[in-house]
Amino acid sequence: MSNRWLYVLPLVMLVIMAGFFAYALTQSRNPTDIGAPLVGHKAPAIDLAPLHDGGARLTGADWQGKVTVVNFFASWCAPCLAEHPLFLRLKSEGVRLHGINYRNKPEEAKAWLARLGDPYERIGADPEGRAGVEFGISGVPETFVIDRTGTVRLHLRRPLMPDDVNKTILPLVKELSR
Amino acid sequence: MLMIIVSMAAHAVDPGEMLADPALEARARAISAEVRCVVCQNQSIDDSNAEIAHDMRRAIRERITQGDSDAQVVAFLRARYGDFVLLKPPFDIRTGLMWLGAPLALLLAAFLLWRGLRRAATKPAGGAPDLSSEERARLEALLGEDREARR
Repeated sequence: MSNRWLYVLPLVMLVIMAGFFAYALTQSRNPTDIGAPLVGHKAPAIDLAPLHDGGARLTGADWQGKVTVVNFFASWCAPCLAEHPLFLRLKSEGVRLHGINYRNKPEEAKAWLARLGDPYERIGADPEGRAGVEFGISGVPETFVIDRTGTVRLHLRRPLMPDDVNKTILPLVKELSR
Repeated sequence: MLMIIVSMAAHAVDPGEMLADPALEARARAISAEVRCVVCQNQSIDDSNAEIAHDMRRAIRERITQGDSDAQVVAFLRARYGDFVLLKPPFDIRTGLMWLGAPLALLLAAFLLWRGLRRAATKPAGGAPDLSSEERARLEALLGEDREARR
């Protein structure tokens, strides 16, 4: 045996490394992406007190029978402010929308909604983040689409962009409502 | 002084969130140390002061108190946050190369070293090829001339 092929070894290693780099750079691999493991599984059964005085509790029954969008929000969260007009739009499109007010002082959340408009059919108060862990969120805002049987179909771990509503959520709600 | 040591050992866990039963608390601590905080850079929720880490520690303790096994508690978190929350990734098809790559590289290196050493041992010392009888005669002649010249 000769050591001739040792001379091509650096080249072989370079090709292997270039392959790894190309894969990592082009397949939009993101090591900070938690993913959406709840998709395809039943939405957790929660039971939250209403944010509004005299409102109804938000429970797992509130996404049975009709496709529902559930949004975690807080008045202290700037991206929530940015995505808020899109929820007003979802409401005007006739989508059933519930809110979960995450780790927020009720009076501040109510003032925020009074100022910007309240698109939510029901709002559950989650002052201690219990529903947050049940839904597997890592922060606010996060948004879920739940089908008629209560199965999670979409989980976005970021503020909505107009394209999310136009190209993803509205078509998905339409498809699931058929 | 004792207070300082105790508080240092407690990491981010607030005394108020600890369970009264030391055995259950120890299980909660062991699980928390293996669960990755979802908003920190590779910190366990046992070490993290983030609010979400506090919420996850509380969920772990509540489930333990309700009688969940350690595996059930981890499964609860994994169903919501995926393998991302496991500081020790599971062994499966996607992580096989990561878990086995280093041992395999070590075994390959050991094999190549062993083969190289065996090859060296079977060769004559110095690695010079044996001289043929003609070459030996010529060498003798040359050395003879040299000896003649020195005399």
